[in-house]
Amino acid sequence: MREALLQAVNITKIFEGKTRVEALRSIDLAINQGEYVAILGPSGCGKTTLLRIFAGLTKPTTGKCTFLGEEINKPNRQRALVFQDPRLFPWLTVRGNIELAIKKQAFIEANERIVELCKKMQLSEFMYSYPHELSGGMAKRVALARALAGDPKLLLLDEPLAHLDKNIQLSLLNELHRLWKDGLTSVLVTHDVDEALMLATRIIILSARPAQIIANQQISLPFPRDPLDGEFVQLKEKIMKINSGVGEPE
Amino acid sequence: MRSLKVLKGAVFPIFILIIWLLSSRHSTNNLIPAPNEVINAISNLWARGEIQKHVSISLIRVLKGFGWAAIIGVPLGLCFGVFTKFRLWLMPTLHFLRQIPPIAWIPLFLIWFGIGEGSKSAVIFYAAFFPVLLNSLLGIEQIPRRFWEVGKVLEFDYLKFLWRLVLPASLPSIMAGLRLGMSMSWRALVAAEMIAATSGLGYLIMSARSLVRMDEMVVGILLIGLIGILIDAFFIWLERFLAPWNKETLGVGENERSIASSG
Ligand SMILES: Nc1ncnc2c1ncn2[C@@H]1O[C@H](COP(=O)(O)OP(=O)(O)OP(=O)(O)O)[C@@H](O)[C@H]1O
Ligand SMILES: [Mg+2]
Repeated sequence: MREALLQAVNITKIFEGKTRVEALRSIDLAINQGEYVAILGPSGCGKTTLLRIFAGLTKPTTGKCTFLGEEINKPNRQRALVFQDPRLFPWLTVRGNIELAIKKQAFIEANERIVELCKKMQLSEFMYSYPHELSGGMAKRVALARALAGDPKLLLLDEPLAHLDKNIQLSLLNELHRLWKDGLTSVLVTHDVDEALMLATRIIILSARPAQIIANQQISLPFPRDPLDGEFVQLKEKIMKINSGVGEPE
Repeated sequence: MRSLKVLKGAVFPIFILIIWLLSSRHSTNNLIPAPNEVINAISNLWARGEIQKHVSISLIRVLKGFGWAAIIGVPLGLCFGVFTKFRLWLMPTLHFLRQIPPIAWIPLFLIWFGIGEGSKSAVIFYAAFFPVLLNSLLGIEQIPRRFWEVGKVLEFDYLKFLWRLVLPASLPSIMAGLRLGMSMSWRALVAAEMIAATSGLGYLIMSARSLVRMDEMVVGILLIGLIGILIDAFFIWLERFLAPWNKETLGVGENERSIASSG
């Protein structure tokens, strides 16, 4: 068998605080090169925690996670995490924020890369704007561009379309699809079944806390996908049913 | 709106001026100098070059002492902020020293550093050092964890953490510390000059006292307040200039607050 890009073996995460919270329980998951994996689950079940473990920001309590065969013990720009909130530095322009992800590189080279990324993310007009001058959707795009500036092999997306209006969601959705089509393996965490079905080649469903994998469904619908298509609707119903078994998200 | 604000701010000083005028007119044996006497005193002192001399001497002193406090206090505060282990060793001592007003040290400083510039520099340094240090430290403490995480995820090296995160994020707090330190050292300076000096604004007041020149004393007091305000305004401007993003975020807060208070 081919080696997975990212492999999680028996991951458990327990937060020891005032109250003990068991967020994840025995998660086994392999993500292969070229996949688009969507992770669905009810609110507060531990989706962000799982993504942070993949990124190397949080250490699992037990179990082990490997990336390209090596154990993950700290963040690496090859696994680019796009946070749930954009987290742009307010003292830097759009350009400056994207530049943060670029390691010592010749000025011209870096410049070309940033201009190209801004064009790709439709940010060219806003290159010299400050974060407080951006709309929510624009800020998300900048966060995405910043993640891409590190030339990642794996993109980890934490609810990238949440709290945006429909039009912006749609255009960002196209962007995310295009990135994957251009060869970027992606993991998407979301509440939204439609969103998952529009993008993913595989859907993982987590139970309520402590989160365990309760479904692992290949999605082989061809692209471009249409939410009104019969097969799409069928799959959606099936996934909703599994999902509702664990409680509706929010 | 702006002119209304200015107008409101001017009401009280005008009121004081009227009281002053009236009371000076009715005061016997010259206890309260009349405003026109004070204006005369200003022009006399200016013509003799006294104002220029004492103001510039005071300013140079304060800039020297304050400059050292900034040069040492800011990096030290940042160090304490980043390397939290240092704090355990030094914070109790610093908190103790912070409680002592700089003027209390003047007699000792006079003996240690002599009657010349040394003792005054020490007092100014002492007055400015703690606000500068503590605010720099606080600036780092206030950096949200989510920003540190961005740095980790993007694999910042030490320099990038410093230049792109730590310094800009704590700049508003550093500036607030410098501003406070400056106003502290301005006050301490004048006090020091009143006790032991042969020049400076504090000395101007004290020498006027020995000659019982009420008008010149008032000139000294007015100058101290006025220059204090100008220095403060400069620091406010500098902060807005260096950290414009902070003005924006503060602006939002101000609106919210005024809405809350009017509603
Ligand atoms: N640093 C932490 N310390 C303590 N508990 C935590 C910490 N981070 C997360 N948790 C807890 O772990 C659980 C899972 O949190 P997580 O953020 O992963 O959920 P989520 O599925 O991403 O939720 P949402 O859909 O609302 O974003 C929650 O109950 C949360 O309170
Ligand atoms: Mg989350």
